Amino acid sequence: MTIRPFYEDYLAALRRADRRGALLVARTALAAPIDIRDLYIDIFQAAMYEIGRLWEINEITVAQEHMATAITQSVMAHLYGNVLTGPRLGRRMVATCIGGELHELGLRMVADFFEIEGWDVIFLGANMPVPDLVTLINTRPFDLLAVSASLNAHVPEASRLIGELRASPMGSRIKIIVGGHPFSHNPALAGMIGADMTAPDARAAVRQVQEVLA
Amino acid sequence: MIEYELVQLLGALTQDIILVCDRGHIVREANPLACDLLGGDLIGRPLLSLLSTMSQTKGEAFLEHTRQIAPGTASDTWELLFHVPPTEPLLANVRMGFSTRGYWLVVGTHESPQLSALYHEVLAMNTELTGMIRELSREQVRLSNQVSRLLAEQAQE
Repeated sequence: MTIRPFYEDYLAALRRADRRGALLVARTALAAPIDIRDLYIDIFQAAMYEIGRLWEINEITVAQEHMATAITQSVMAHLYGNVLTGPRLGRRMVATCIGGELHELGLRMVADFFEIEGWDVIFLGANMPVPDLVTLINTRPFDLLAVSASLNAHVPEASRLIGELRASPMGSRIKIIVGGHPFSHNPALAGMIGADMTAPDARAAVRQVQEVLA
Repeated sequence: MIEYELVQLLGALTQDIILVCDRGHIVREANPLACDLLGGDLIGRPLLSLLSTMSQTKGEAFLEHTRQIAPGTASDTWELLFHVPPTEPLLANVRMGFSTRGYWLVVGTHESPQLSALYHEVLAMNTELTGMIRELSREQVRLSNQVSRLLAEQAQE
């Protein structure tokens, strides 16, 4: 089953701001059957990268780019039932991102990948105050914290978050994975701010964490 | 002299950001609105340094595009994000023209802060809504599993 025609149709639906059309393409792909992980990486992520590229060459506007993000958020939410089908592993993850809601999509993909693998995920999204996050992690057992930072300007805040968490009682036990553009560009940055690992996408994140926790 | 006064007045009255840059794209003059929105220390700064990190690559592509335009004509409109600390980047539709005297005239029509706030509110609501759809799906899966379990138990009895 080739995935390319679904990608083309999905991208076309995003470009004409057609939410229902995009959802139909995603549902048709799943029924084909395309694995939901391939749907995420080879259709949703690839289409969003292309949308970003089109904005950079002035082919589309910010409004169109944000509409594409909102549509993909919505499509992923509607397919969420397909994420929850596997057996639970008893592993727990908390996910948060630095920056506004517009930067949540990548982290959502990572969180969904872990849920597909049987993890229980608490998705905190953007703008979670650091003290609240530290309290949460110290009052409930988690195996993993995933932090997403989409811009270089967000790295100091990610560093502060990790620093405060590491200084707390449970901070040395939890594994921390960071992701986003600054870390894809410079993976060594992850270690410099106190994280255990980084990964360029959701599939690689799951693989990395499985290796570290094996 | 009168001409220059009129240009100054036009710069003061307009709702657009106006910058005058030299051949190297260094800002040499700015109208009051540009100073209000982008900061008072514009003069002497490269045009690219005024853009947000998200717009750097696009800004370079825009300057590349303007190299192809003839003196006295205008570039296409490019949407760029200006760096406006500490608030969100300022979105502007920017056009540039090259004067026969060797200066770049940069005009940017910016989005109103109210419209921008409304726009971000709608996006935040979409995020919240999709979060609720996910919660409903989770409950649906949980209930469906419970029903399956009950049916299996009933069948055994």
